[in-house]
Amino acid sequence: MDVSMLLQFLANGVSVGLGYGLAAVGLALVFGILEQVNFAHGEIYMVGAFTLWFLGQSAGVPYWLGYPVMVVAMAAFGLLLAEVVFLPTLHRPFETVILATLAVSIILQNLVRLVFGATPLHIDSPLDGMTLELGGVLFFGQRIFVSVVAIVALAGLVAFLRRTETGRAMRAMAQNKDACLMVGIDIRRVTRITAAAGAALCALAAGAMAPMFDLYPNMGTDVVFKSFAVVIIGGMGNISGAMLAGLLLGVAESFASGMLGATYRDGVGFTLMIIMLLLRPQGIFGKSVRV
Amino acid sequence: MRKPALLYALAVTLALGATAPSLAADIQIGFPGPISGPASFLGQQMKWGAEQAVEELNQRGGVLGRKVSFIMQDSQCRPADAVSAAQKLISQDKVDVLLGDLCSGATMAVMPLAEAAHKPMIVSISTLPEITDKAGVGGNKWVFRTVPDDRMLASVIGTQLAQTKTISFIAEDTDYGRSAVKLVKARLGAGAKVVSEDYVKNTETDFLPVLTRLRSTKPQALAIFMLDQQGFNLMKQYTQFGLKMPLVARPPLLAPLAKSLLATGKFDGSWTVYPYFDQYSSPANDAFVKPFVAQHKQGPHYVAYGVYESIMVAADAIRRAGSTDPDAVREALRKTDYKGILGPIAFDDHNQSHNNLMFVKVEHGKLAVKLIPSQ
Amino acid sequence: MSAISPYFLHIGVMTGIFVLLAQSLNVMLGYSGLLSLATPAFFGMGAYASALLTLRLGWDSSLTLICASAVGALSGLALGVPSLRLSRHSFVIVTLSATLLLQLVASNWIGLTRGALGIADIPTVHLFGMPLAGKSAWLAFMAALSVVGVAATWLIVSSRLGRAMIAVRDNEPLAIAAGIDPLKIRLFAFACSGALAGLAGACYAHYLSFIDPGIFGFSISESLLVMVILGGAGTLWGPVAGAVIFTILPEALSMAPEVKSLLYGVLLLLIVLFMPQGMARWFGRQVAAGAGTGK
Repeated sequence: MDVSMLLQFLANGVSVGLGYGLAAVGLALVFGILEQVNFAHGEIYMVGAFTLWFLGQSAGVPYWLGYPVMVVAMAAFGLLLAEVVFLPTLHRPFETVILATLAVSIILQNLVRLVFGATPLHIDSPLDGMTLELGGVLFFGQRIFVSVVAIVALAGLVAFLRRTETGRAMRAMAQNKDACLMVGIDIRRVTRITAAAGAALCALAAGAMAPMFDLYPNMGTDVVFKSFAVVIIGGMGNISGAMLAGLLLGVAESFASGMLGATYRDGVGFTLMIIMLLLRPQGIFGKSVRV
Repeated sequence: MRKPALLYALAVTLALGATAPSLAADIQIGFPGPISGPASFLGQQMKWGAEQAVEELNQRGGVLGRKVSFIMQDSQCRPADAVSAAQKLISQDKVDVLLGDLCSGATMAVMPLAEAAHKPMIVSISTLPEITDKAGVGGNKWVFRTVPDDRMLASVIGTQLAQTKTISFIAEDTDYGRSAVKLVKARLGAGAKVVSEDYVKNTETDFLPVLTRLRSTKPQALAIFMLDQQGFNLMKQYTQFGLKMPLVARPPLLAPLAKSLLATGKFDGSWTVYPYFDQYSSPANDAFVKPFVAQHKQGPHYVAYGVYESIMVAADAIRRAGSTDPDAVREALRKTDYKGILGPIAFDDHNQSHNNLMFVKVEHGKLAVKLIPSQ
Repeated sequence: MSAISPYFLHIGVMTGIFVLLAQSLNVMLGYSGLLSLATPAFFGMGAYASALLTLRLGWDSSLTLICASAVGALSGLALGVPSLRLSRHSFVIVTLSATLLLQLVASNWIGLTRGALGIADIPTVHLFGMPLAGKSAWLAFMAALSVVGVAATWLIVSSRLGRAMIAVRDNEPLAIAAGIDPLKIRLFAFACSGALAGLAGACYAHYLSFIDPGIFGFSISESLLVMVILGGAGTLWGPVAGAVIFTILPEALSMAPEVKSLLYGVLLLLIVLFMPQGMARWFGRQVAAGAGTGK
């Protein structure tokens, strides 16, 4: 077996995996704190990517500026989602929110298709084509960037949840929603912030990864399925679990498609998910907004 | 007494209007296609090809003194929707000739409808070989195909690969991709070794694992079967990996996006076999391409050519038949000897034409085209 | 010479298929309070089962249709056993993932399904050797099957098991106290749902004569959710009305698929947000502590 090939599989897998983790962390956060599965998660990613495209290719804003602007815009979108979906349904059965976010996802996919058309679009990034070689292993600029963003985002999120008062309020709500009322925590405020944070994290992933891929209105479907797999493997609501599970998935996929064939790539996520559900439904790390 | 009568008359008129057949004056050609959905940009090209064909025919006085028009119904390339669309075209719009859909699955689903309704049908784009097998003698007499099928493309590809000893395949995991790989594998030279065979879902954008493996296994050639956008991503990542083996079979070298990549010189030696290429210059092709580009600011894609050519062949057959009577048109189609853009179009006993193909090779960062006969 | 245009007959046949599918979802969503996105899975399983049994073994449709139903029911059980143990959120995700997984398997198990090439030339339904020829015959057949489907649904929900389903949906702790095993009842619901969808799938396969792995796609769930919820989940005729309206309306308005989908999304969002009664009736278990069937 060619060692450099194996190392390359590992390097590829780590960067892809961190991307998966970053994309899934928002989903895990929203589930952990609001106990809601956001079926529109993939579409937030997709709308973020299209917004970045619009800023860059249509409005001529450079990538380094467009990226943070887009993340802020998507955080605002998260707030909108909170107002329209999460807040009105705070005391309603879970399935209501699932259906509502499913409806939102259908609406967004079709709106984007009507506005932008179905031709795949492409975002230019200053890191296009940048390749580094270290010890026979290739590293690609954009992918390194994704890994860095993922790690920094996770560190930032953990610090926020541990050190700030809002963060503590969010963790409290994850533990016991009813007790929050007794302690004077404003559930509505926490809901808004969580939704915004979840959307922002998703947008961070979108902005970092979109230049590597093509944009099309259905692209959120792949993202949300991978994120579901990651969150189920890591444990619903577990933040670091999501990142680690994402890493695991990325590396497993890389080796599986590298050694067995590209056809098996998606099967890996499903297999791991099924194994996890049969053997340990709470995921590797269990449910908790544990940091 | 007047008002009710007026209303009655109005109601009757409306009822008649709703059930009346469309004006018989126009000769109508109908086809299903992806107006919406993931392949809609190709559906757009199909429409443009039809528009141009119909406009040219009408400028020359129409066919049999009648105007020609076309109707496109949305199928999203899905078999069930294509059946719905075709049914509408046959029963509601009462088209004279039906064309196939973009995707082979959708076209196959429509073929039995044409047979049941006794409607001549021309497959203008789909390349699945089974369509040929099912048409003509011993099968569906009403279906004809003006474009080559994948078997013909595979034969030519196989001949070009006669000297290649080791080869890897990457194809989209669809009926097209799987069928194409199977056909080419069957035609490789004796002693050729297939190093690897990967199928990727057609929305896949990450080819790193496969390219990593290829960096180690180093086959002599990498055969690619995928659509332009996906293939272009593959080409980009290929350059990042610093791979050297030529891309062969059906890489998207012709896509406008690929031009800048080709200019880097990293793809010299790569080649592709295509049923059509807009940048091939010949009097016939220029006459088709120039007005198209002037109108749409883009070159015609293969699908636009396919639809255009098929409408022309249909018009030619109707002219020779002297009417739009289905049996007469079908007989006329069988006897077709039409001077097409790439060469003569005539149908064998499976109603399949054996049009010339284009062999395009990258030399010094540029594309060199030549026509080759199909086998 | 048929007085009715084949196009309208075609719409009629598709409506019949959707009535069966709507009742399938109705049993899960309406009567059992389970948000299952797995209907396409059973639909596809039934379609492939009937197609393969007819083409490979030459069985008469009277047999293959029953087998397709059985395959649908078994698929329901196979999915139900692992998924019902999970929390309600994971349940929804898993039912959705099941359809994707089946699509993957159908695409790659080429020896059985011919993968992406699909299965073509599926003969029309042959009942005891007599073929269903022509669209009028098919319309009559689907109309009959729709009646059978609705009658079956009525029989199921008015039976003792059906009432147990509704009891579990409305108040699980009380149902348990009354001696009902929620898991068994829900598995029964899964099986019934699978049977109906499997039958619909078989009809679809024989009618269109061509199926491919795309049959497991999510888009029919989109339509079904609107048909069932808008029509009235948990009622017998509501989903039927929903199926009829939402098969005919998009065709009549010649809506572009995107506009149709957009409309469905908006309708779904509006009803979900502004019809608290409807939702509470089906998903009434929110009173129970914990996430649901499993923890």
